[in-house]
Amino acid sequence: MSGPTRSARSIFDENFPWVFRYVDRMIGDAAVAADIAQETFVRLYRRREPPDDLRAWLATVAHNLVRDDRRRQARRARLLAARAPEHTMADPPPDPDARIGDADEGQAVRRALAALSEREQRLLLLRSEGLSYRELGLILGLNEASVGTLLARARAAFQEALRAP
Amino acid sequence: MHLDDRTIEELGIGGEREMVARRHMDECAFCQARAVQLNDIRRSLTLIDHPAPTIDVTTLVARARQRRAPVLIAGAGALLAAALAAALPSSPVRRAIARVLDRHQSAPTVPRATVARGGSSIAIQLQDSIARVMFRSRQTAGTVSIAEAGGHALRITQIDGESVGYDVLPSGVKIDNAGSVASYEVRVPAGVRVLILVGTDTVFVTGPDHTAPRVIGLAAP
Repeated sequence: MSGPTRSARSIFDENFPWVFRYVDRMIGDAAVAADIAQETFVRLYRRREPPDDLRAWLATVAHNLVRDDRRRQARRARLLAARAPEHTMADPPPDPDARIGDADEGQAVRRALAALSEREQRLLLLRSEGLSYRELGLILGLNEASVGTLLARARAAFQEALRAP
Repeated sequence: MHLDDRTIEELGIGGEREMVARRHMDECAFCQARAVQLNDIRRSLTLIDHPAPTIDVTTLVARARQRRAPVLIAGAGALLAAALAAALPSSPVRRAIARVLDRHQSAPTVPRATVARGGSSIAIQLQDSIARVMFRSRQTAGTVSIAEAGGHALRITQIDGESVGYDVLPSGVKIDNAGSVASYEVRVPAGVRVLILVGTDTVFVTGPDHTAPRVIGLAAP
């Protein structure tokens, strides 16, 4: 079997880092993000030719895979909850020392991201990866003017959530 | 008048407005502060980053090529086994096929439409709350949109074919399947009018109760 073509390799080199980072920021699990980012490229290579809007296509497929993964996780959680013994102990009270960890900036960023709607998260994260307003509009089904407005709102919400105690 | 976020972010890229924007930026404390804010947001996101793994692209390409082979072999094997089993006069497979055929003959007609033009064809079937959209050959007209009028959520599942990207939007479902062959099932709430577009052409509409499906046309590839 022959190896990857030069274009397959250059597409990968140019795009894998941001696809991985986007998914990783979205879900906060580097191992799962690596799997999803790889699967995105496997799907790309299964196409006969690259899509017209490559970055928008990659972002959309990666996001669909994130959604599928979340659905699977939720189903697993439901099954585990259903199989749990009837007399489970209540959750332990929060450890006062754990609050020290909360002060960690990374956790604060993650909490602030989680406070946004899914669309706001996607706008904020994809724009930070350098996707254009036109690409964001394609991905989210918005016109460019709406992208600017919604992106400004997403940033304001993110900053507010970041400042929240 | 201050610069908008997009202009601030794109400073340095060049273009006609660059010089004007730069001059404004040099003199405007408000825009300078906004530039700092935008930079802070970008920097704060890097705080949750993990290092990217090292991936061998050769392995990914090989995976993409290999994945189809087992499916094709399994499909061919299953077909052969079913054909052999059905050939035996007393086989349960033969009886099952007969039962299915009987049921289909007595079942009410399901609204269904097929259209073909220029080598591209699409079959659409509506039954209860499920719309099946099946591409029989490689479609080249563009993105497929399945929309409805009531602002209800639509659920889409790919039932076969090549894997493609799709997105569920407030206005409906968009499938990025240009250049591929695939079929989908979309769950449409009752009482909702369904509208299917290939590229920019409306190819299919129904009444609100999913009756009277009508194929309008299919964009030529």
